[in-house]
Amino acid sequence: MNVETLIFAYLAICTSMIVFNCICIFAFQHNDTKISKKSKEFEKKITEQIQQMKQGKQPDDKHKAYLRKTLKKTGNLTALDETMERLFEEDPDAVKQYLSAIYPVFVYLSMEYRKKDEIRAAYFPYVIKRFGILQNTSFGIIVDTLMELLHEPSLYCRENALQAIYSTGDCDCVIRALKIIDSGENFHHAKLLTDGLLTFTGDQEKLSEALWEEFDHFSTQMKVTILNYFRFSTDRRCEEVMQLLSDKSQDDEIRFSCIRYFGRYYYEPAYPYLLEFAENTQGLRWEYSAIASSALAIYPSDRATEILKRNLNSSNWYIRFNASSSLEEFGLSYTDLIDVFDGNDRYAREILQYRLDQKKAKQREEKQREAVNV
Amino acid sequence: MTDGIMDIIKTFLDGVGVFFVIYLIGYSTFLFLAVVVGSSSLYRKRRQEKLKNTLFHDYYVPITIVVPAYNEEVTVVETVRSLLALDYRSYEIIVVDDGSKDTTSQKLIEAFDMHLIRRPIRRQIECQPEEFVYESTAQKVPLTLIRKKNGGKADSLNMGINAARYPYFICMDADSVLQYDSLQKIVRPVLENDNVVAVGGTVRASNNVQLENGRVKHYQLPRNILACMQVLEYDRSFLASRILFDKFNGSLIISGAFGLFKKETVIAAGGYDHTTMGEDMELVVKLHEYCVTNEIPYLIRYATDAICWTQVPEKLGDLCKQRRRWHIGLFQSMIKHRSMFFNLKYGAVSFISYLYFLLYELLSPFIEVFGVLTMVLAFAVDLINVPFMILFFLIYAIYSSVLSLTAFFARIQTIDLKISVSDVLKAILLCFFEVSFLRFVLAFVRFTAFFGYRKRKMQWGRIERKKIDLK
Repeated sequence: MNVETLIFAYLAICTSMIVFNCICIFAFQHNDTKISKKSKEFEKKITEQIQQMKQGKQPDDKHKAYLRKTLKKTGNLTALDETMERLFEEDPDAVKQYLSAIYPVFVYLSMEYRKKDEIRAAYFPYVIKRFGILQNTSFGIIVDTLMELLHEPSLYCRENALQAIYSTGDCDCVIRALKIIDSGENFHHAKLLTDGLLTFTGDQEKLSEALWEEFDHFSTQMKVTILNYFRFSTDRRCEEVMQLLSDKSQDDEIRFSCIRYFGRYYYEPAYPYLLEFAENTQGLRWEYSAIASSALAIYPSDRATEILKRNLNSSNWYIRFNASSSLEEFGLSYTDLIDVFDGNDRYAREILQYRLDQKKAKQREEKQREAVNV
Repeated sequence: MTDGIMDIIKTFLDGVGVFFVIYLIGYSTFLFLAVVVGSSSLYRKRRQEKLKNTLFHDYYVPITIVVPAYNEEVTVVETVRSLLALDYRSYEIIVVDDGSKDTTSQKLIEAFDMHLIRRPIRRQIECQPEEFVYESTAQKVPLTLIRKKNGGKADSLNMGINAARYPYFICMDADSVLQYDSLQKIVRPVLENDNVVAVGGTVRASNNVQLENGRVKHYQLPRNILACMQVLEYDRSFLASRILFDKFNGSLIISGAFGLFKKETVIAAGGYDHTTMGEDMELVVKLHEYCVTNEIPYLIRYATDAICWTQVPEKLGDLCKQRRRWHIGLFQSMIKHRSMFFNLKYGAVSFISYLYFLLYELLSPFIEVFGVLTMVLAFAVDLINVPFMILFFLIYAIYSSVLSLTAFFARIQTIDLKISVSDVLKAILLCFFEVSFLRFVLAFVRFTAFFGYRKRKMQWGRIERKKIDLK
């Protein structure tokens, strides 16, 4: 094959790409029109069914069969999404009743969407969550499909499935899901999991209780995620967290999380531990001292002040930084901290001075804001 | 001319001919693959967006935005305003004034009611000392201004990294505007994979684009022809080749105008190198080297939907200045990290990315000028087939134009931008002009880049700034 032939072949393929682009432009436009037309068709049919339901009847089988057939296509499901958004604004209660009545359609669709590629499959749990399909119903097949989607390599597939599972408000489902994620090979960011758990629509206290019961069955990474969830959701896990903090055999990361928990919620029995960690006489990892120095911010006392002042002289930046922050939180004045300012450690002086300056600036800004408001 | 000399010239020209055939086939194949992979990735992305394959997440990862500024009094306040309007929950802004001779710092202090503070900065990377620090907590997010002794852009970025509070930082230019959702989009690869150490954003020309609160209000190709051609060029390089490199973790460049980095890894690798002109490329190459040498699992990703709008030069002189700078930066990075050349340890980064940049970016101006000189020689000894040469050139120009247009249209339609018919025609006409004219001008400029570069190597690359149209 000579060079010109190759170049011409490339040229031909590129020209077909331009043609493909043009076709795509029209196809996308056509698709949008088709979806909006379908959405109007759905609106008409669903409104009829809702009216029927208001007269005490159930949606007829023909309608359900129609939905089963049409909603297999992802484009039609997006059209239904549009329709539901409009109808929900008009009469939310009626729409909820309607969705509850057509629940078997979604059971059927869950099996259909499970067979689709990962992008389409990920759309199904999104719809389930958005329509609130799993609220106040018995679960079964749909939840099984969601659990299967948790094994998918696509993060979006897993995340959408998790979001739908959180919307069930069922603790057992959530724990089952977390176990699947925990045992899977796919990376799922801890931040997504913690924040996701916070969107759980059921009783958060019950969820935290259930998570604690199963705590030992999770990996260290998942345990840290759960502890972070406790930190942002409840102050009622102090005893359990204390148990972990005092257990030296626990992984460092778990104990760091426990210290952070007690930096958010005051718990007297944790105080001596925090002091000990902040002082770090046992030669533990520097993180213990840094995190404990920060956690002590809600435990003002002479002993804490003394240790934090000492930590201002630490060679570790984070320990100095956190200690200065906590001292500022204690509300100490320049006179209370005179020994630091008169001391020989320039770094300690500088960081403390910065904190006090920052505090003054904040106060000044607040005053200015108040003056503007007046 | 004797037969002996003619034979030598013939053999030489034959050799050159074979070299160019191989060279151009290599380039055509690369461009072809890049555009095909790039376009299909964009369509997939669009499909994902339509079918809600996205993260509905409000908190994300805390980010520090570092804005190095030197004599930016015209744009800096608007830039910071646009950053304050970003749709993101947890971030801080640090502006580093690199000893500006104008009123860059004063403008910021006045506009955002900032107060002087004695803030200790932890020097993890070497940089010039600070002169003063101002802060403001009255804004939506913490805003810090650090004025330091002049040391160049890389030095300013290092200062920003030293002062950054958060684990990830973004570097950007003071004359650029981030799209309202750019932080959400650029951080997504980090949430997808914990090994991501850097993410490159997409840079687009903002000339003639109206932005309101970081949203595109009205999109139109630039009126200026030179800027318009750069739009096509940016599309080809950003949406085609970078997506291809991203597929095998082979990105060697993250534009200095918009990139996200893991602070800890950048500090461990030594931060930005202030002795090179292309500090943005140098850092990325360095990250590859650092992670591979230390056997750290890592990924350098590219986010096609994280968008930064920047002004491209509208004057040929400015454009030449910019390209000379880029080319010297490329040269310095490649020389400094030459151990990556044909090194099995680096895998595809060495055998595809490094080789591509060496042959088709760094050496291409020399090869192209050599080609032109060879043509002159062939013409002089009457050994050139002129009609074939013209045909070959035409095929090449049409081929490159088609690729540019494919990249341009793929970008336009996959992000739901509406453009006018006149813009479509303008793009079609100018893409041919870009590959057959501008490309050669820029090749010559890059060829001459090394003349007198030592004198300019520590200077900020200046182009004429206009106030950004942010409404």
